[in-house]
Amino acid sequence: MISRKICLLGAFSVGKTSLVRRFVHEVFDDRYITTLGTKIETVVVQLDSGPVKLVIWDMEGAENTDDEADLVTSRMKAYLQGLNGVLLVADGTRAATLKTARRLHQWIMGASPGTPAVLLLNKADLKTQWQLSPQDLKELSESLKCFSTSALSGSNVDKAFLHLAQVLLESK
Amino acid sequence: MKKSRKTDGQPVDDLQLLRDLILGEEKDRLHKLDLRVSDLESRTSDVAEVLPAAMNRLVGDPASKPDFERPVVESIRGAIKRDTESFAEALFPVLGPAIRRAIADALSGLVQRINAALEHSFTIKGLKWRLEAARTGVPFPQIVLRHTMLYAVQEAFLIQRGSGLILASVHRDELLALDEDAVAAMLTAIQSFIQDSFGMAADEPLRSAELGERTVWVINGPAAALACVISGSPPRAVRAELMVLLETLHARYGNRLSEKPEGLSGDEGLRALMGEALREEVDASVRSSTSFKYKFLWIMGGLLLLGFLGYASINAWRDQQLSRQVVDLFQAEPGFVITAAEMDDGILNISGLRDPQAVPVAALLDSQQIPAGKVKTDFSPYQSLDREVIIQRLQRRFSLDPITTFNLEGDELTVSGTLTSGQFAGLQSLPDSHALIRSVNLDGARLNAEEASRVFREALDAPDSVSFQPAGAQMAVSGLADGSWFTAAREVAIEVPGWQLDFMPLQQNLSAQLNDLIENLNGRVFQYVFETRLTPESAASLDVAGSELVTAQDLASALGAHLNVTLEGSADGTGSRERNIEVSLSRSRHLLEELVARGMTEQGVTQTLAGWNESGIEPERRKVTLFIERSANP
Ligand SMILES: Nc1nc2c(ncn2[C@@H]2O[C@H](COP(=O)(O)OP(=O)(O)OP(=O)(O)O)[C@@H](O)[C@H]2O)c(=O)[nH]1
Ligand SMILES: [Mg+2]
Repeated sequence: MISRKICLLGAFSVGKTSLVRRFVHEVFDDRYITTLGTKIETVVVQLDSGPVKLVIWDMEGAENTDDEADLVTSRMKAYLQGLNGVLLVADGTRAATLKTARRLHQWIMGASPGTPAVLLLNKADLKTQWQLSPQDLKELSESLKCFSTSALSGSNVDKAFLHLAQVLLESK
Repeated sequence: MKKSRKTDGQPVDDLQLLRDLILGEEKDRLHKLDLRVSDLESRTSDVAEVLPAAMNRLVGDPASKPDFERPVVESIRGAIKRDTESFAEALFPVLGPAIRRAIADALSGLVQRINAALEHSFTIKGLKWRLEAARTGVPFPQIVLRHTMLYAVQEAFLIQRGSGLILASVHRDELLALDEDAVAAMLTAIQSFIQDSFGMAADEPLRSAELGERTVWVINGPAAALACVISGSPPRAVRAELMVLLETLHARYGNRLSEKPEGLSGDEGLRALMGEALREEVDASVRSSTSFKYKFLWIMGGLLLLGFLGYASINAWRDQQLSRQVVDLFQAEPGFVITAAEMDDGILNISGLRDPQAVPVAALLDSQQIPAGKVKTDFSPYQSLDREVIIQRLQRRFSLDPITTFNLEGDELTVSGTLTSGQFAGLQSLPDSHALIRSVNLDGARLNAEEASRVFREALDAPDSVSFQPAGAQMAVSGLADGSWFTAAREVAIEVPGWQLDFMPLQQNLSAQLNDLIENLNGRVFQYVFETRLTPESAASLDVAGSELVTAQDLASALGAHLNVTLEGSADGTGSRERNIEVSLSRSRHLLEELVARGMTEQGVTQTLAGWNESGIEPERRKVTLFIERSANP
């Protein structure tokens, strides 16, 4: 079976672990247990073109910082080696996390150009508290495929993962 | 204004005085408060007084919890990033016990091997090893270890460097519980973590890890790593061999190792090469240990040791020996967790946890001939609720073959594959005793062939001449048997899980036997001296002929076949025609009576007359000829 390594990247507490848990195990937990290092899950998804095994690397959160060395630590670089695709995650209720996601995207594009990426604006169930302006969102979706997801309700989560899987296979 | 007592008599002073009089107390308090607020130390102690209560309230309040947690997590996270090393050190006390456990396990294995070695030391092989030790100067235990080292590489996978994706994998058992992709990715992640946290060079990452009872060796190459899951303790030399294998893989596949993994997935050559990683070394002679012969040698050795060591230390050694043996025994047994073991006055006190599913303590001790009086146990019940653990424990408890499959869905356990009757009984009664399993579905399971044939043999009361041979889902009945057994056996209804009786081979044998008998009997002549007096030879042959006929008739009726038996009487040419007819008939009737007396059935037997030659005396025609054939219709 074809297998692909994908990583979830984003600032801390944006819901990376929750999104993986929702996608793989279909559950949600409102406790926050921060991820250190990386947590690995595997899941087989059925696409029209056949099954693909996704080896999902749920990374520790990045710091919301302007300093590049702090943004992508040496450990994170080691984890990101050989990745086939990336899910960037931001928390709609915290504007700073969106900036971090975009900076991470820039870094990935620099390190391995052409890596398929999608952006997940998470915590859509809290839309009333979102700090993103419509202008922000419009700009974003021009450069990157965006999904507004909720690990809590599950909305759009499968869609985002499957979209990435599809793109991964097409970019053989 | 004149009321001022002061000499300079200023009105301000009066005002001040008035203030002091009216607000004196408050002013004083204000001043004290001022001091308290501006003095850092007293402020600190004030905050310290209320802080615990405040924190408790914050943490308990779901609304403010995230706000409170966020800065805490953020600062811990920052600290870890800035100073990974000291956090890695902080983690060490946690890792310590795990590592110690691993070492203790390794040591207990070592003790077992040394025990084996001590037994060997009183055998020829042991003497050889002693000589080798003397010759090479290597300590004896090391020589023994070298010779008894047992290991097997259970599975091996080739992991792409960086991505952690699997390029190829091989394994011994057909059914694999591991999620190889996840294990491979985790090994890769752990390598990265260790490299980063302990500042190791990139070419010196994780080499070996403990995975339950197995050891995982990771051998790193520039484009791919070879991970081997090993049971037992492999000698170091194996690592070098595996390294050579990895180099060969790199030499042969080069850049393809760095490309998308499915490019290599169908490569038979790669699989074959990987197969070489599945090395093993088994020294069977070491496994079977405590035979009688060795016991005698033990005693001899014990006496010798007595001379050297003295009685006390022998006792201590034996105590330790017993304690090791028992602890190992319980540790190896699923459903037991040993928390403490101590020797007290020659009695071993063991305490810990025991799953109610586990083997009874007495039976376990008995199985190793450990006297029950020597061991006192105190187990509290426990039950692991983990689905995997339950399945694994059941699988181990019933020591099921790898080809059996175990599946726990809700509270129904489904088992398929080949089982022993003990396993059947155990599994069937499982719902009575198991906390989680309400029903057991054994529809897909079958009894193992050996026991199935035994059950069939007993139920059918089969003679030794009948054999039962498994053939697919059928149990073929073959060999030889008498017709009545065959008839009866086919009527018996027995249900043996997963098996159907097939009588066809036996039926064919019996049919062939009947044909042989018919061929043998057909045309047999019984010679007479005169009238109904048989010659002595013919008279003597009656018993055999009778029993052959009985058998033939028996077989025919069992097979649903029909026999035509004809007794043809003859006479010599002397005498009148009437006389000849009479004599011929009386002879065939005589023979019929003789055969019926020997058990033959009269039914289907006809008597006829042969012609005779009028011309003269032909004594050889004083006879009855037996004709027998299978007939299509009754
Ligand atoms: N309301 C809401 N809460 C969410 C959602 N996704 C995650 N959370 C909560 O946000 C907190 C952080 O979630 P995690 O999934 O642990 O975040 P993370 O990105 O993995 O965090 P790090 O591992 O520390 O980087 C948890 O308390 C989650 O319950 C969501 O879609 N809606
Ligand atoms: Mg996480």
